[in-house]
Amino acid sequence: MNALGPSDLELAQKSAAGDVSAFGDLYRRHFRRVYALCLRMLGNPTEAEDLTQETFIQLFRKIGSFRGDSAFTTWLHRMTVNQVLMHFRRGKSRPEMTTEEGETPIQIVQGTENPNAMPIVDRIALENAISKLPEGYRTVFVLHDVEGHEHGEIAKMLGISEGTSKSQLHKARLKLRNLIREQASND
Amino acid sequence: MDCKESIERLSAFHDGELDEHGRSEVSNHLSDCPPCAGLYADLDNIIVAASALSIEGSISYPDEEALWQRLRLGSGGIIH
Repeated sequence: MNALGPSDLELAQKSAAGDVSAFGDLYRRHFRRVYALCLRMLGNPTEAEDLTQETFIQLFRKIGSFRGDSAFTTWLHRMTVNQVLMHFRRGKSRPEMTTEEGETPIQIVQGTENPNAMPIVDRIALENAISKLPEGYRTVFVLHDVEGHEHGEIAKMLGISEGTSKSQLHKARLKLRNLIREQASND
Repeated sequence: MDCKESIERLSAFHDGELDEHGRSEVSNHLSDCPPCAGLYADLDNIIVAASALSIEGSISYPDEEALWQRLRLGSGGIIH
């Protein structure tokens, strides 16, 4: 216990002993982060809510295996990513793992003569564009450019090659750029 | 290097995955080609914005307590 209340490890240990109240405290502490990650990876609020629930149920079942070797947030983050990937594999919402050639043709619209034409990417516009990406692109983009995972980690998580991860990321960035420009021209 | 080759390598260029020769080729092309330089600037803006996205960001969250009740008591919940 410290000035901020019990640590994640203390709450995890109590939860593992069956203390639902302690687990409730963990849930309230981490709910937003888990939901936000699910939403970014899934692009669908209803599915994100279901996966958040599934993740915390899985967390409750596995909480006894948390030993505090890594930060709880890191451990829970990995568990959340795994739950979403399992969800994809079950086929409820399969990510489009496009081939190297890409299943979704991207029309490259080059920049204008003014390289400052898109100086600031509005946060809401970016989030909106991310939600419109094909799932395979979105998964790699969120894991790499938002969450900061390396291609090697992503390749292991998704069961793809590092080259495919890099290719998906590049196509995701190009598609995002087109989506943001389309949005801007419609506003 | 033409524009098509340049565009294919922009992410690798940005992420520091090209060797010195590759970096130099892309860099020289971007210096001579404003449209490709504009595209690169756009990608860079997107990457910077993505890295700055707080994970909890501007998201509309579901009712935390309602989800907790589902979690505790719903099908497959933690209290049986």
